[in-house]
Amino acid sequence: MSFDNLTDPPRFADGESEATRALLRVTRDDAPSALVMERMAKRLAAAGALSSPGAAVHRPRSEARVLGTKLGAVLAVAGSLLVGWHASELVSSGDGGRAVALEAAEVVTPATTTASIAIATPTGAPAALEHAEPVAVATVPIGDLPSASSAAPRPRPIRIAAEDTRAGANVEAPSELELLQRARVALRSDPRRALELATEQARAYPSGEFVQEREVIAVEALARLGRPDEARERARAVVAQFPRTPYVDRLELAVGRPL
Amino acid sequence: MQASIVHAGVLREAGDNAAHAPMTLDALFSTHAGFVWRTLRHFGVAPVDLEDQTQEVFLVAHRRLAQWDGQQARPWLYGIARRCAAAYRRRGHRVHEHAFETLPESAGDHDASGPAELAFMKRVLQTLDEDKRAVFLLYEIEEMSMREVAEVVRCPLQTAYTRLQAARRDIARALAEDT
Repeated sequence: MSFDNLTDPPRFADGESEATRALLRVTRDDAPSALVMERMAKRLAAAGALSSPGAAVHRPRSEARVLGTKLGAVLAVAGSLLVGWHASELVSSGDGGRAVALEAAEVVTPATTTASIAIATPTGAPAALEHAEPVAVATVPIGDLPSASSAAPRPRPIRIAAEDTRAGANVEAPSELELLQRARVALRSDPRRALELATEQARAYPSGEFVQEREVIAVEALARLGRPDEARERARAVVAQFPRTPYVDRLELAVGRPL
Repeated sequence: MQASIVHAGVLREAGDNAAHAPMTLDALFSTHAGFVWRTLRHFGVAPVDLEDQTQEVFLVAHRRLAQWDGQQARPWLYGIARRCAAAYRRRGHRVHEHAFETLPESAGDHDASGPAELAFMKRVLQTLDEDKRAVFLLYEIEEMSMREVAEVVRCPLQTAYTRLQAARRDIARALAEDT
């Protein structure tokens, strides 16, 4: 008997009771909530998989309307963020003014969060750092960082007046996502710079949303810098702190062995 | 750019029958995250891990996007989800040795196991063997065509029909026994 010309049979629910139809409907409507979609989109964007955290704007089935409303503000923020980031990348690709806008601002974090983290704080201008002789970049063991699961509110970068701007003008410090994306871009050609940016992000956002993504970049940077022991130790720390991390494969690839 | 992404998603919402335009990962995510989520759940991923595992599926998809032929997004994602779920189950000992308090950030925001109906339906589906369950879910829940279902589960079309009929019979019996 040939099945090639058969049409699809009626759906099961069509011939069943309302209770059965309801059960199938519930199963069919099982999907991540708007909040989870938004969070996944942000993390995938941070990992470089999505071009924009706003990719979650479209939802299948009936949830689209609800999510569209909730994500309206997110899209607006994401759009401005990406435009700003793109502009900063254009600036930093030039010869003279490297990352002027973003790195001119000093990020200040509460003393309680920075006191326990031993980091070589950049003291020179960012442009000078990039052209300086290679130096060992201090790294922050993930275990020394406050847990991202902490109930404490995430510290926000404090907006302060930059010295080289006009009097009274405020410069917004780079966001966590901006730092992460810049680190990811740097990783392709300058792992030392990527590690510096990861360290900067750890200092500015010790309990940020993208701790895992930052640590993955740091591990990959360490591996590319020929510091396998540090890379392995840091990768193990990631897996220990985030046992459900979706980055296990990437970490294992970076360190060259199972974790 | 966002508009084009949304448009692509709308084109594919009802399945993979629309004209095959190249899909970005943004479009794949916005259109098929729910499908991946349900697939992972049915492959045994715990509710608390669904978010991370869904994210992992799309990270893998991102890495393999260049190798994808651009046809049939759901079968492609289904294969990735099945492999991710298998890897997840293999490393389950590591995942579950941690206390709830040490879960990744905002674990409290994860979708819970869902309403009682969802849990009940899951129990009913667990009474099916995996082959029949997959065909039933893809046809009845994901509303794929039978030809697409057969392609996803990699069996002859005739076998897919047979499995569907058997699954329906078993489900109907299980539901009748419960009520």
